[in-house]
Amino acid sequence: MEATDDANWTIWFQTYGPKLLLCARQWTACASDAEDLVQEAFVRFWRHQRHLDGDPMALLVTSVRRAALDLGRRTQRRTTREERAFEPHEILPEAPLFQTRIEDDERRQAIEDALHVLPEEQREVLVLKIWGELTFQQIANELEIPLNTAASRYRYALVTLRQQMKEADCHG
Amino acid sequence: MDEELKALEAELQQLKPRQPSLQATRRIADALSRPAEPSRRTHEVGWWLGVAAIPLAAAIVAIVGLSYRRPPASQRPVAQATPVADRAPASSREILEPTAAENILYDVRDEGLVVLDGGIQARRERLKYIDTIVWEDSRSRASLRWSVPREEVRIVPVRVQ
Repeated sequence: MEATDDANWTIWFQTYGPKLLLCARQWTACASDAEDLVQEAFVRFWRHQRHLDGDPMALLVTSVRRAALDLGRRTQRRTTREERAFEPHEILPEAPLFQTRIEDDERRQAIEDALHVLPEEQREVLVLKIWGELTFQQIANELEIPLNTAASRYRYALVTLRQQMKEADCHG
Repeated sequence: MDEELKALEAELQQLKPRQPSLQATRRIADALSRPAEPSRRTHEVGWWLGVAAIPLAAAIVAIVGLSYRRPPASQRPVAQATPVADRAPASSREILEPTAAENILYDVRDEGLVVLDGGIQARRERLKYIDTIVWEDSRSRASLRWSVPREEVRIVPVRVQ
């Protein structure tokens, strides 16, 4: 690989990697699965898709989400066979979702805890909109829902998040 | 949206998602430094090869082969005896053979319900692929890589219960 190409992909990955990883975390059971999916999606994108028209982030999100759904179905079949109680799309507490300064860590944790208890359909829209930086139309296309539904879920997510964080503040 | 929600939205936008691990970055570097392997989604490749790739590959090889075709006998220079050591190799033509085929599905869109003849309801789906074929010359290691986008529209009958 040429040096220029090498520098380019690392710049692209620094830009899109964190956002993609956060999106992938919504659809996978653990951070390591999310990283695996992001890695595969990015390699596929860099080799075959980066010259295509369209928003790179939207292409990458599509690739990651479909791979995550496949992984979730395979995981469900395996855990059903093993008779384990496991929710493949539940975000298990693991590595932090965000990077913050130490003094902001408590607030970050509060936000992550509140995100964790959001209904999945609201959380994925919120994540795709705020950190995936997709438009409502792109989100609606990706999730195969009406545009208004995407916008509504986003608003409900913010309202629920605000409520969760107020309750957390009250309880100390 | 009220001011409080806007403030929360602004606060969330300030949060920076965590960087992927160094290990993930290294794995990507390693994967990109290797030549592309055929996609795991190869169950469609055989069918696709049968329908489109072989005549396509034949056309490409024919075009490449034409560029090395010998001129008609009347235009050929008169053969001269040359010492064995000075003779050119028997054939200097490049022969590109297909060595890899891959298709990547990168988008699926549900375009809604349609009604077929006989009143059958069906769902129309549009699938977008990138198809890639690689040809190589085993002697010179020259290679040709051709990637082409493709769209496929599927009509899937819907069962109404």
